[in-house]
Amino acid sequence: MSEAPPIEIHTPVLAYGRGRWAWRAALVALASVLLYLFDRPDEPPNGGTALGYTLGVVGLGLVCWLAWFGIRKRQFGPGGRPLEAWLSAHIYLGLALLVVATLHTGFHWHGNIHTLGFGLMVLVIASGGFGLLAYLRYPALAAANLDGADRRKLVAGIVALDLDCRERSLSFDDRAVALVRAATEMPRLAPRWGDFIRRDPVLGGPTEAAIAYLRGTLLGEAALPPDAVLPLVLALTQRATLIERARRDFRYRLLLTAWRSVHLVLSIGLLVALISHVVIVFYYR
Amino acid sequence: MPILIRFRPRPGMDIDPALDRRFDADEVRIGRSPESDLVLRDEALRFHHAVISQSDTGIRIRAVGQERDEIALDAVGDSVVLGSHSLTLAPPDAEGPVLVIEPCAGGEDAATLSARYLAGLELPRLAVRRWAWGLALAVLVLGFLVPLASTLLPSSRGLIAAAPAALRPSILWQVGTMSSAHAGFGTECRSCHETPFVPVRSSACLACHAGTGQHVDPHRVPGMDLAETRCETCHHEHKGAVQAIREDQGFCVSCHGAIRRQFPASTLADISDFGRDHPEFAPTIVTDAATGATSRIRLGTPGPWPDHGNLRFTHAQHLAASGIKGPDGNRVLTCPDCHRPDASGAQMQPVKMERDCLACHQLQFEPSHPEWHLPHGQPEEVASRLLGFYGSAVLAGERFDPVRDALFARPGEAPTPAELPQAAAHSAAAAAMASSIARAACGECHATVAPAPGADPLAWTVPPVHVPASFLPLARFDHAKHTSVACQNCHASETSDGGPEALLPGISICRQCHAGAAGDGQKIASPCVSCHVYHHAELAISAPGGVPK
Repeated sequence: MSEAPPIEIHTPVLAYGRGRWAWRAALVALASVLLYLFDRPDEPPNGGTALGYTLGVVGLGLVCWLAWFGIRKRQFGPGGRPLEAWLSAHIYLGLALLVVATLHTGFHWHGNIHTLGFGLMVLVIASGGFGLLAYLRYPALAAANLDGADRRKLVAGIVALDLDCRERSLSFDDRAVALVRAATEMPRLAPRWGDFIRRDPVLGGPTEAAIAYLRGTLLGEAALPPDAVLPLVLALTQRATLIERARRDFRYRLLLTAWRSVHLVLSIGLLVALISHVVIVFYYR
Repeated sequence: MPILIRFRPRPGMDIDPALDRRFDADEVRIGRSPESDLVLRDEALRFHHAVISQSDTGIRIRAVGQERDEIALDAVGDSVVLGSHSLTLAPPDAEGPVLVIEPCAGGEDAATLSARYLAGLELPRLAVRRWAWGLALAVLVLGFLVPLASTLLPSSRGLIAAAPAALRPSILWQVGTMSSAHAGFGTECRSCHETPFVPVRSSACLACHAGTGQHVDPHRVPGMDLAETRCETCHHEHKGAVQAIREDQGFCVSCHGAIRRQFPASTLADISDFGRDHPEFAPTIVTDAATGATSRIRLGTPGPWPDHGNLRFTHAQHLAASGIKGPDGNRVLTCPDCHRPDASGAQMQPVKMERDCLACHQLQFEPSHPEWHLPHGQPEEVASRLLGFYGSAVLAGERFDPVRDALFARPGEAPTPAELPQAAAHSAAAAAMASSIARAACGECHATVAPAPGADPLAWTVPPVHVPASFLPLARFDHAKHTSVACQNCHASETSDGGPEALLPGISICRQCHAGAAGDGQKIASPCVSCHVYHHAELAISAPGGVPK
C-alpha cells in the first residue's frame, strides 16, 4: 500500500484564493510579534498593558469569529462566501490566534481561570490542527486501504474465512481445533485503544499460536501432508490481513471524526472560560 | 444385534433414509477422526470422542479415555447431546436398536456473525452535546460561580470556606502574582477592590499609605494634584512579586527630560540620566543667620559661601594629623569621635555638645576656680549659674579683681570698687560673662550678641545654630550602604577649614562608582529613584479635591 497523494478536493481549502487567508493570518501574527518585541511597557509585558489589551481584544474577536464557523458551516443555501473560503480562513486565523493569545498572556501562566481559558484554547487549536492533518492524510490512506472494497465486503470475507478455518480445522486433532477456534473467536472486531498504539495486533496472539501449531506440530512433527495443513494456514493469514484492513479502516474513520468532537467540546469550554475571564478582569479592576 | 443409525441433515427436517447406516459391530466409535466408525465433523467433538454400545435395555454411550463417564439411553425418546448433535433413542426395528442423530439448532451462522462484526465496526457515538454541557457547566460553576458566591455572600463564608482553597477568587481569579508587600492581605480581594467593576480607588491605598505625599505642591503647579489621580495609574499590582514601585526612569524623564515643555514656569534643569546630564549638586545652605533662611548654592561656586550657621568650627583644626590637645594630652581625632550614625545607619545623628565636645570643651571660665563649669544651655541659665558661683565665693570672703569692671566703665568714669557683696558678686559675674561668652567658653564656638549699652550686663544672647539635618534634602543618601568607603574618600574633612562647599562631595565623586540607569561597564546602574523620592511626605495628599494649605 503506497502513500497516495492528498485527494484533490482538500487542496483548495488550504490554498483558497491563492492562499490569501494564509497571508492575512501571517500578517496578523507577524504584526503581533513585532509590536510585542518593540513594545516597551513600564511593567513586565502582560494582558493589562496597552498592547496587552489590544491583543486581548483582537484575540477575543478571533475566538468569536472562529466559533461562528461552527454555526456558519451548518447554514446551507446560496449566498455569502463559499464554505471553502470560511474553512480556509478558519484554519489560518485559528493558527494566528495562537500567536496573538500567547502574546496577550505575556507568557504569564498560573493555576487560575485565566490560564485555564488559555489552555483550553491551545487544546482547541491543537485538535483543529490534528483535524487538518487528518484530512490531509487519512482519506487517501483510507481509500488505499479499502482498495475498492467497502466495509461490508471486508466483513463478508472475514466471516467466510472464519467459518472456513473452523471447518478445515475439524480434520485435525483436538488441539488444532481449539487453537483455530480461539483464533477465529473474536468478540470485538473494532480495535481496542491499545491497538491504536500497537501497529500489528491481529497476527499476534491466538492466530499466531494456531499457525505455529499447524506449522510446527502438524506439518513438522506429525508430518501431515502439506496439502491438508497449508490451506488452513493460508486462510488464517488471509483472515488476519482482512481484519487488519477492517481495523485500519475503523481507525481512519474514527480519527477523521473524533477530533471534531474534541474540538467542539473544548470550544464550548473555551467560550465559557473566556467570557468568565473577561467578566472577572473587569469585575476586579 | 446391529445398531441402526439414522440422520436428520438439518434441525427440523425429516430423517433421510438414504443416510441410514447399520453397524454390525458391538461397539461404534464416534469422533471427528476419519478412522471413526461414525465421523461427525463437529468442532465440539474430540478426534476420538465416544463409543456406542448396546445394553440390555437400550444404548450406552461411553466417552473415550474416561471409562466411568457413561450415559445410558434406556427408554424410547431418551436423548443425549454430543457437541452440536443430539442422539435420541428411537423405537427399535426388527433387527435391533435405532438411534437418530440430528444437528442441534443454534450456533452462529454467517449472517449473525456478519451482523455482529459490522456492528462492532460502527464508530462509537460520542455524546458531544453532553460532554460540551458538562465542560461548560464545570468551568462556569467551579471557575466563576463558586468564587463569585464567596465574594457576594459574606454570610456563606462558612460554606465557602469549606470549598478548596483553589476555588477562592484570590487564587482562581488572580490575574498575576501580587507584590510581596501586599501578598499578606492579598487573599482578601475586597481590601483593595472595594466595589465590583469600579477600578481600585486611591482611598483604598491611602487607608494604609496615609503619609504619602504629593510630588509637587499642587498650589504651585496646577494639574499635578495627586489627589485627583488614581494611585493605580502608576502603581500596578498583580505584576509579579516585585514591589509595585516604579523604578524605570523613563517615567521621570517623560517630564524632567524637558520640564518646561509641560511646566513653562519651572526653574528646574532638564535631566535625562544621572550619568549623562545630572547637574552638579546644589546643597541647601543657611544664607541668613538671623532668620535661618536657606537657599541652594551649586557646588563649584567659589567660596567662601555665605554660610551663617552661627557656629565657629573647622574640621581641619580638629582633625590635624599632629593631634589636638585634650584632657588626657594630645589626641588625634577621627570622624566617628563626633559623628555617630543614627539607628538606621543611613544618616548621622546631630552632633551633641555634651556628648561629643564636652570632654575637651569643659566650659571653665575662672582661673582661680577650675572646678567651676558653665552649663551648656541658655544664656540666662549661664548668668544665674555665674551669679551663684561668684555670690557664694564673695560671701565666703573671696575678693575678685574689680579691674575687670573696667571693661564696663562708662567713658570718663573710674571703676567703682565693689563694696557690697551683692554688687561684688554681680560685677564679678558680669565680668566672667563678658569674657567667657564673648571669647572663651561660649564664644569659642558660638556667635554671641552683647547686651545693648545700658541694659543688664548679663543679658547676652546666643543666636541659634543652624546645622541642617541634610544638606541635600531632595536626595536620599544612605551612609550604611557606603561603609566600605572611608569617610575621607568623599568628605575632604582633614583639610577643610570652611563650610559645606569644601566638605560636601560633588557629583564626580558619586560618578566614580555610580552610572546612570543603564549602568556603565563596571559601575552601578542608578536610576533616578536610587536617590530621589517621588512622593514628598511633607506635602501630604489629602482627600480627593485638593490639598488643604
